[in-house]
Amino acid sequence: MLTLYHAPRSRSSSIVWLLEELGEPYRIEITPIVYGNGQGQSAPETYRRIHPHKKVPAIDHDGTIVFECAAIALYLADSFPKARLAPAIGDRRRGAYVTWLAYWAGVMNPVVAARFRGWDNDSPTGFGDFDEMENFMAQTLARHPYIVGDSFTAADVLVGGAIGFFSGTLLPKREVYDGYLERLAARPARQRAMARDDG
Amino acid sequence: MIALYHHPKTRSSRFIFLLEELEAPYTIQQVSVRSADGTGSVDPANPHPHGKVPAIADDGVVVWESPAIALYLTDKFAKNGIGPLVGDARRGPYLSWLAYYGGVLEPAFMSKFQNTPVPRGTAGWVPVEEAMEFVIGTLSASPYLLGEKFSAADVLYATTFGMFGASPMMPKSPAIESYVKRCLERPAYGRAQAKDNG
Repeated sequence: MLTLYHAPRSRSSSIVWLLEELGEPYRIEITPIVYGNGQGQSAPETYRRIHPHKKVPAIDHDGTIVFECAAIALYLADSFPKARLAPAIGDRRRGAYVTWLAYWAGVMNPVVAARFRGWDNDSPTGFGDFDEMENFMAQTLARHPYIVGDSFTAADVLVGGAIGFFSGTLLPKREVYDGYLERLAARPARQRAMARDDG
Repeated sequence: MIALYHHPKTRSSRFIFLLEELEAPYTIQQVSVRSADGTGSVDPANPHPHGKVPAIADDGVVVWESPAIALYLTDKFAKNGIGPLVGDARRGPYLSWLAYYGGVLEPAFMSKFQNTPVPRGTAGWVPVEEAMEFVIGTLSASPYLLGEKFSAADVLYATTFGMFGASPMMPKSPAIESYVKRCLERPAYGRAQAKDNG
C-alpha cells in the first residue's frame, strides 16, 4: 500500500497529482505542517522517523520510506512502469528526465525562492541566475510539448506545478507557458488530484 | 563512452572518482568555467546550458546536476554495485539521499555562505545546522549513508565535506571526519585525484 504524508496546499499537493497519474491505490495521511504564513502547527516528534525535518511530502511504500519530491517522483515512476511516467533506463530521454528532476530541486526551487524574497535584487545569488533559468525553461518548452520531450512524465508534475504556481507573478507571460499549463490542466488526473487535496 | 565535462578542483572532480569506482569507460573533457569572482568564461564545448560543471555526455545524451549524473551513471554501470538499482530494498533511501543532496544540503550551505535566510515553510530546505544534525545522526549509526555499503551518495557527500572540511560552516564532528577519511581512502579516489588536472 502507498501512503502519502500530505498537507493541503503545500508541496505535497504535487504528489497527490503524481499518485493520480500513477493509477495505483493510495491513501493520504494528513500531516500537520507550519505554513509559510505561520499558520498550522508542527507534526509530532514521532513523524521524524518518516521525515527528518517533519516536512511533507513523504511516502511509505510497503515499509520503504522516500522523501524529497524528486526522489518520490523517480521512485514511483520506476516502481510502476505500467503508468509510463518515466523514460526507461537506457532510453535516450532518460538523461533529460533525471536532469530536469534534479534541476527543479537544486536550481529552480532556490532560484525562485531568491527572486520571491528579493535576495537577488542586487545580483544573482549563488543558487543561480533566475533569468537564465527562466529563459532556458521557456526555450525547452518551445521545442517540445512537455519538459522532457513529446510525452508527459513525472518531471512535468514538478516543473509544471512550479510554473503554474508562479505564472503571472514571478514568471513573465509567455505563450509557451500558457500552452503548457493548458495541456497539464486538461489532464483528468490533475483534476482528480485538485479535488483530493484536502484528503 | 562517457565524456565528463570537467574543470580541476571543482564539483566535477568527484565524478572522476565515481567513474573510477564504476570502472566505466570515460574521457575527461577539460573546459573553462566562469568563476564566482567573474574570472574565466563559459566554454562553447560544454553542453551544460549555463556553462557549469559537472556535465556528462553519453553518446549525445547530456546530463547535468550532480544527483542526476550520479543516478544516471550508477543505473548504467551496475557491475560494481555502487548504486541500488530499481527493485533493490535500498533504492528508496538512495534516491532520497541523492535528492536531499541537491535540494537540501547544497542550498543549506549556500544560504549560510551568502548569509540569506531559510524561511521555514517557503524554502524546500532547512538551515545547515539541521541538515547536518540529520547527516551526522545517520553516519553515527552506520559507516555509509545507506548502511554498511558504500554508494554514489557517499561520493557526493564525502567529497563535499572533504572540500568544506576546514570551513567554519561545517560543524565539528568525529563521525564526519572518520566518514570522509573512510571514503577518500578508497583507491578509486586516489586514481581520480591523479587525473584531476587532465
